[in-house]
Formats: sequence, structure tokens, C-alpha cells
Amino acid sequence: MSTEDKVWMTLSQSGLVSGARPEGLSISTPWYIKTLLAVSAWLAAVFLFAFLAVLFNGLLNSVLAATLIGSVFILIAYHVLKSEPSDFVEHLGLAFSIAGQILLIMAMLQLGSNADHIKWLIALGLNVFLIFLIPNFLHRVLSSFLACICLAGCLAQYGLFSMCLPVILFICAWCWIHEFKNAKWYRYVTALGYGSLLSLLLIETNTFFQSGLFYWGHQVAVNQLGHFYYLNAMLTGAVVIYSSLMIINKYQSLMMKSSCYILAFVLVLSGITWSINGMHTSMVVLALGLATTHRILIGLGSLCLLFSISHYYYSLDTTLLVKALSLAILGGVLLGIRWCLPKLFGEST
Amino acid sequence: MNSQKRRAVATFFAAGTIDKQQIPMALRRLGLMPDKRVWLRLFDQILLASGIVAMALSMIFFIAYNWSDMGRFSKFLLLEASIILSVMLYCYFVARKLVSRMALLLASLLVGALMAFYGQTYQTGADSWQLFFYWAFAITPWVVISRFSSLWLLWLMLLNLALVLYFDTFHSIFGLVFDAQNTLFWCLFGLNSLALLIWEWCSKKMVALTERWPQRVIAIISGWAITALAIYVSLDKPEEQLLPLLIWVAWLVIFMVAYRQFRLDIFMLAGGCLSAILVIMTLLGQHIIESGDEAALLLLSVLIMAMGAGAAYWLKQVHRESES
Repeated sequence: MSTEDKVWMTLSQSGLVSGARPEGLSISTPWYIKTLLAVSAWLAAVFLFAFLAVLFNGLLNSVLAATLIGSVFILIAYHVLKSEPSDFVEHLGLAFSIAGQILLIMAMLQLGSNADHIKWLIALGLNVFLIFLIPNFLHRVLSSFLACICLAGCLAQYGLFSMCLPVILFICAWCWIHEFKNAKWYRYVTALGYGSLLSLLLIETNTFFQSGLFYWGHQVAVNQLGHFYYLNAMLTGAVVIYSSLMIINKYQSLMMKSSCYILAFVLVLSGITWSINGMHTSMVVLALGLATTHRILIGLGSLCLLFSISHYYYSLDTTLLVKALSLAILGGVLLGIRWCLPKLFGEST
Repeated sequence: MNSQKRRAVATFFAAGTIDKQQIPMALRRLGLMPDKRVWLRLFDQILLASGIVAMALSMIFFIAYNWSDMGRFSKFLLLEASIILSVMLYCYFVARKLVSRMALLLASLLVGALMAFYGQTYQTGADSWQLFFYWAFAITPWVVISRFSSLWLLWLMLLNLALVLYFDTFHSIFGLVFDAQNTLFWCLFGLNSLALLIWEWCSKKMVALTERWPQRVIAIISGWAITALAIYVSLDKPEEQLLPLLIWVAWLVIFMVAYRQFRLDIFMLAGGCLSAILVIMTLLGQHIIESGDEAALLLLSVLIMAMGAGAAYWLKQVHRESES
């Protein structure tokens, strides 16, 4: 008996579904098969684009030609992916769409160098449009990822780079908390959840090293991050509290006292770790993963947490003695909380 | 298993066969929404593991600071007493698996600090690879008795690190083999493949080693080493590519057969497919692009699509087969 049959039987026995299991439902494939598909599509798109670049060398220097060819490619991808295609055709559609987007972005970059915010906005609009246009899960994840990156780029251009982490963290948290709210929008919400999560990790990595994609040599973004450091920490802290409240809210059997303990613990932890880059993001992703038993979220959240703490201690401008002392206190507090847990939540919730 | 259940619920929900009001109950029934007991167990594990690691790092940082107000014998005493205390904790809590294993992890980390401090105090002149090698060697008995995946992985990572540092210092094996980069890749491949083989063999006999993630981590390192070697030799030294390619083919065949026939693991099979696509594309790309025809790029693009689609189709079939 397959896992789907077992799940259906369990749900049926609990009276949550009725009748026989519907036929013809295609169960989604594991993430590593999707990743293999995505990597192959990226590689194929690069060669496809290189072929076009060699063949139409002169044409691609023209904004109009690049825009036209890019748009035609995306339309081809739409037609290929709109029905449930075979694996090969799905690849073909993905490769055409990626190559089309590269062409459109190249055309946009040739528009002129004085209006960067307009370019980011157009790229954002294009990716949001593609999320709705192309009915393919992998493509939606890719478009969501690029849309979040473009959103960060737009915010940096408008002097609001410190807002991008909290905003994307909120989008990510909202998607995973509301995953099962609407059947019609389920695939959009999960695709946006994955896309925003990936972009979040990329932005965090860039913030760690204060270089890379977002800044594009743009010192303004680095300065913004320095000036609005507290605002950034406060807003991500607010997302941590929002996520905790929403998770607590799922457990209606939880008593008021227990909810208050959990919230107080989150507030204290969020307050203590406000200055550690990436800590709030890790906390939210890990908590969402644990609450939804989602192994990818748990894995990525744990990795981000380890990286944040290691980076913090590595870059801390203090002596090793102070670092040792602070770690000893941290270890003591964590073990102390562990000792208190059964006493606080032992019997009644 | 939970991932499969999750995917099934998601498919039923997206198809509209489960009402959204029923979702929390469905998730609870399937164990996909942790209850109070599971939450407490999760926090218990996270707090214990992070608390112990913080304590171990605190000790390492303290020793690294080399506080002059504290004599070297006091530092030795502190480190050795901490190790003895950790081992005593292991003996005391031996019935409580997680606590005893974390105590051994702490003791193993502290051994590294003790060896580093010994080298720092007596200026032994040892290379850094020796520290990691002897550290791994010294903790081996604890690693064996712990039956703890994370500690085994730490042990293996210490050996990998010793290997990398060894080649960083000597650039050869006993002065015989001179191409340091290639030899390092060979050694990393050999060490991790052997570790994977032993782990898979032992995991049939030891319940404690049945988790899949450590094997996957080791397989990624081993697969990366041989794939990188095959690609590097093909691109850089085509005249020497026969042996690495033959070994890569042999590895791929054994790997795919093992994880298809003897221990089904689609993650491993997907990794094998990715390695095959990368190496074949490198070999083909080299020959096709040399022709100088722009259509070659289009051909490569179609070939990647065909190989990726073929691999995904086969993996989906295997996945469906494993589900039924």
C-alpha cells in the first residue's frame, strides 16, 4: 500500500474525508528531483542563450530585438507549460523562460544607467506577472525567488534597504503559516514560501559579508544598513513575535499561562539576540519548520542558525576571554531553561 | 516518511478533497503537527545540544585566549578535569541516551582543546594536520561506544580536515605523488567512499546508525570529489583522463546499483544522475565546442534537457515504485 493510500485510509477512518481515494491525482515529487530538474534547466538555458548570443550577435545589442525575442521565448514557455507536460517538455519550457528572462533583463540594462529603480521595478513587475502567468510549480518558485530579490533591489534604490529583510521574512512566515488556508491558492502560496525562503538566505549571506549581489558596488545600500540597523532589528523582531503568536494560535488547547510563558521566552530570546545578524531569520524559519514538521525548513533554519552564531563570534570585536565568558553564560542559561521546561509545562497546558 | 505524508496531504488539499477546516485535525492525526509532548522533546534536544556545544566552545575560546594570570598547570587541570567530568556524566547518564551522547561529544571536543593547548605550551613543532589527525585518533574509542551519528560525522570531518591540511603542507604523499590537487581529490574520494561503505554496512546491524542524513552528507563529499576530479582532468589534462574517468564510471555504476537494488535511496540516485550529467556534458561540450559551429551550443542545450528529463522521468518511476 502506498503512502498516499495509507494517508487516505487514516483520514477516512477519522471521518475527515469520505469515499474512495480520487484517481489521477499526481503526487508532487521530492525536492531533490525538482532540484535536479531546475539545475538541468538552468544549464540548458545558459547554452540556449549562448547559442542565441552567437547567432544574433548584432540583434541582441538592440533593446527592441532583445525585448521581442525575450517576450516570444516567455510566450513559448507559457504555451509549453500551461498543460501538464512531460519531463522533457517541462525542461524545454523552463529553459525557454529562463533564456527569455535573461534577454529581457539585458534589454532593460541597455535602457540607460540613470534610472536603476525603474529597472528593478520593471524586473519585479515581470517576475510577479510570471508567477501568475506560468502554471508550473518549479517556475513559480524561481519567479518568486527573483521577485523577492528585485523587491530588495527596489527597496535599496529607494533608501529602504533595511526594510527588505523584515518584509521578505514576513512574506515567508505568512506563506508557511497560511499554507493550508485556501486550496485554490495553495500552489501559489507554497511556491512563494520556497522562493522567499531562498531569497532570504541569499540576502542574509550578503548582509553577513556586506558585499555581493545587492550592493552591486552601490555604497548607498551598505550605508543604509549601517544607519538603520536598529530599525532592521526591531522590524525582524516584530516578525518573530508575529510568527510566534500565529503558531501559538494554532494550538487552541494551550492554556493562557503556557502561551504567556512561550511569548515571554520568545521576547527575551529575541531581545538578547537582536544584534546577531541572521538570528531572527533563523529563529523564524526553524520555528516554522518545527511547527509544520517541514524538514527542509528545519534543515535550512538550523544551518542559518549555526552560521549566524559562528559568524557573530568570529567577527565580535572583543577578546577571546569575553567571548568565552559569554558562551559559558549562554550555555548555562540554555541548560537552565532545559531544566525549567518540565516544571513550567509539565502537567497542565 | 513525514515528508511523504506531507506531500500526500498537500495533494489532497490542493485537489479540494479535504476541507480547510479539517486540516488541523488531519495534520494532528498524521503526526504532522507536533503536540505538547513532541514540542517539549524537541526543545529538550535543541537546548541540551546547543547548551553543551556552547560550553565546549567556551572552554576552547578560554584556552585560546591564553590568560597569563592563570598558570599552565591550572589550565591543564581545568581541561583534564572537564574531560573527566564529561566522561563521568556519560557513565552516570548512560541509560539516558541523548544526555550520555552529548556528554561524550563534549569530552571529544575538549580533547581537541587539550591537544591544542599541549602543542601551544610545549611548542612541539607539530603541523596543524597532526593535531586533527591525533585528535580523531584519540577520540576513536568514545566514537565507537557512543553509537552517535553526529559524533561519527565529527570524527570523519576531523580526518578530512587533517587530509586537506596535510596536502596543504606537503603537496604529495611521502614525496611520491606530486600533483597535490589531484591527489587530494583522490584521497578525499577514497576516505569518504570507504566511510560510506562501512557506514551502510554497519547501519544494517546498528539501529543507532539508521538515520539517512549522515550517509547523504558523506556521499555528497565523496561524489563531489570524484566528479570534480573527472571534470578537472578532462578539461585540464585530457591526456591523463582515462584512469579518472574509468574510476568515475566504476564508482557511478556501483553507487547506482547499490542505491537502486540493495538500499533504495532516491536522494543518492538523484546525486548520481547529476554527477553523470555534469561529466558527460563536460566531455561532450569539449568535443562539440571545438568544432566551432554555433549550432553546437544549441545541441548541448538540447542534450542537457534530454538527459535531465530522462533522469527525472526515471527517478519519478523509481519513486512511484517505492511508494506502491
